Amino acid sequence: MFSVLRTLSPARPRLGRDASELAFALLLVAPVVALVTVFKWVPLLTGATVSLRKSVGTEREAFVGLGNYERMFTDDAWLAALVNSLKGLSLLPLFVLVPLLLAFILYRGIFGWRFFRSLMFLTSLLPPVMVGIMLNVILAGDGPLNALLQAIGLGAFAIPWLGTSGSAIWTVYAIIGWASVGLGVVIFMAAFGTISEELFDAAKIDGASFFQTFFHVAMPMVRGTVAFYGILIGAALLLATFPWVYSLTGGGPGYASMVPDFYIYRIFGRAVDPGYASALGIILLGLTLAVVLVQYRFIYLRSQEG
Amino acid sequence: MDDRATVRGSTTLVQSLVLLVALIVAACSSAPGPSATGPAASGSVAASPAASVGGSPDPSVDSNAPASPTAAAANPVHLRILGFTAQPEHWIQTGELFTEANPTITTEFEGIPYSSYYDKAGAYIAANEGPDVMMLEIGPNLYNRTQAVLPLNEYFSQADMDLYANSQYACEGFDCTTGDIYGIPFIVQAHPIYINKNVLEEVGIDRDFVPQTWRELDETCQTVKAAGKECFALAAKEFHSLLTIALLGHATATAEDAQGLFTGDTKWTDPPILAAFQLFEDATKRGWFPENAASGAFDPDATGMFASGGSAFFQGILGGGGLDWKGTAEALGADNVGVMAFPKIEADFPIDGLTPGPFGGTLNVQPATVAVITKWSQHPVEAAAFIRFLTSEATAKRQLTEEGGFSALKQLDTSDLDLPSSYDEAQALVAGSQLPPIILFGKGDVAGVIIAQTQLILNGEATALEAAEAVQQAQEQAP
Repeated sequence: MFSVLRTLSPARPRLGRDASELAFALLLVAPVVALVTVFKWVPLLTGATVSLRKSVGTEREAFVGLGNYERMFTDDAWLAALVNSLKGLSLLPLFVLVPLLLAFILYRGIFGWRFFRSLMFLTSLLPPVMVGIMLNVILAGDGPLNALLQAIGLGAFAIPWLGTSGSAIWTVYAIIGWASVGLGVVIFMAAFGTISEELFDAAKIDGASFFQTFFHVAMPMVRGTVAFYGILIGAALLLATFPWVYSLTGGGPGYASMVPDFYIYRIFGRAVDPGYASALGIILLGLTLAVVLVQYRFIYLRSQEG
Repeated sequence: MDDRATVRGSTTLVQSLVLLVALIVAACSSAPGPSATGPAASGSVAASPAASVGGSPDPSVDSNAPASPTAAAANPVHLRILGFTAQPEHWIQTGELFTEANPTITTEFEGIPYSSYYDKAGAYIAANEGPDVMMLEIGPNLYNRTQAVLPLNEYFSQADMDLYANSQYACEGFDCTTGDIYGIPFIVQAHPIYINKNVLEEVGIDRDFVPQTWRELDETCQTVKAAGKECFALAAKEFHSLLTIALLGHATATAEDAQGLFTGDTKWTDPPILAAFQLFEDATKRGWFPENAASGAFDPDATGMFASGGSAFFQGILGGGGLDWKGTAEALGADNVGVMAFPKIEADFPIDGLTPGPFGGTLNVQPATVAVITKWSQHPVEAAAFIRFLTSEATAKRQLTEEGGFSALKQLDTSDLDLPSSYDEAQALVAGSQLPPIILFGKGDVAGVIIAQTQLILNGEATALEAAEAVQQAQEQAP
């Protein structure tokens, strides 16, 4: 573990021996450290403490040790939420590849590329709740999408996309992918801009096709950005799906589209069980940290090598 | 060179120190300080008839009476009230009228849409600060939050509680004489079924027909569906199906069965309670509910369907906005709305072995909304005075005419109010009710689990027994 931490830590800057320089440096970082301590570490430690307690009747707290942690192994809703998160992570390659490919298409200068870039980025700016209200109408069993499918002879696919257990979570992730593609396009287009045009010219001279250029020239040159974006989206899929599930499905039908952060909200806010909610939050933090560490160690760092 | 660098570094250091100190001072000065008013200053309010401890139980006593002259000399008090409502104007006016009667007390009403009300309330409870008075619904929404509620035994007596229907459910252990009084009921709630008489007439049924048995309801539904309309407008994405389970619980349960859920003597899988899920499953299989009911939203899917004549029946709420007795009358016309409860089941129909209970065919009335004083309130005396004003007969009458709703007062003379017939029909059902809804006795996340399980039943992905087992598990795991 320590070797991993050493790997994660950037090279320390050499500080001057002058005590005033050291004090000055500490002073500069003090506000940020204070903010992080107050708004991150204190709540985290408080949450860890609360996770060991349970409200009993009118008493706010009763120490239950790891009881809240044991409970989650038999909590069908929580287990369903974790499975749904795994489903989301399985789509991570798509979440990265699609905006990457779209960015490359736009970067190669198709007609109206600026317009398309702006149009795609616009979806990233739309509030999730607004999108949820809109798509609840469009994706309803008798909504316009199904009407279109039936009109073109694809009535077999006209299902309640958000109301069917088999399709609800995948529909939610498809919507998240649609909403986030614009951000990826902008990021990757900026990364492609750092590639020397000579490389593309050389590939063209060698007779490389579009996809050969994409996979063998463009992608290797932006692998660091790809890895970073993958970490970003991976963390978001674990920690930032709440507004989408809240506005689209409410976690249903049943627990078909339940996700961890939405379930924690439900346990804390509606069931008023802060102890259990805190325990779930600690576990979710641990899972997210594990996913990010794996990505960072085995993907991002390797992308920086050579 | 080194001297100049050192001087520059020192100057920068000093400037940074000054900036840091300024930031800290600004942060500290923005933090709220303790209230200037306290119980001592507000004690004079207790001298007013409107706020007397254990004051007159007679609803005819005018609680709008102005405060005593000593109250006017007291320090001004500002009360914050949190409530869920689609019509904040009524509540704001209530606060203004209260201030007219108590000039030293001003009020500020924060109205939150119901769908996000408990999120906001939860945030205040977690922070242990916020409004002085909150609205909470009897049932898990109250029982899960008693740690944030100030017992009101010091300000209200059993005689006060006896004014309100089923008020024992607002007290600890369902006994206001021995337990804490959590809040004062001011609205009763129930989940009646509204009938669109025009739809019945369209499909060839007598417009005044009210099904009296499960069999008659099924025959009516099949006739309605054959005509291309939906039987019930149901949208189970949020809470709508919870109301259906609540009302179906009346089919077989006794009062002991229902209360036993809270004490643990009864399980959700026991036959009298399981019947609610079995009947819901049966209704689903008979096609009473729309095909996409599992994912529809209460508003606008269900309400829109009923208001536009797309269904014959709609299970709504008794009062409080939206399609209640007032809203349905406004949407469809007072003469076109009927009100009923789920009809009685028969022995062995629709479920073999099912025995009708004593409350079949009645409405599930509960003292739905109580006004509570929060534990962190620095003005409990004034807050109690406001609650007494809020739950008075005058305010109840004004609420009926302005917002709809249904007062919790047992004796409320509405003969001088011009109310539609749907109110009278609802009132008749309320008067005959003796059992609150079974969902009132759920704990923890039971309500959320019931909603999730009914969605699965609607999709054919769970049986009634599986649903009841999941609910029982949630009940056992609740704090």
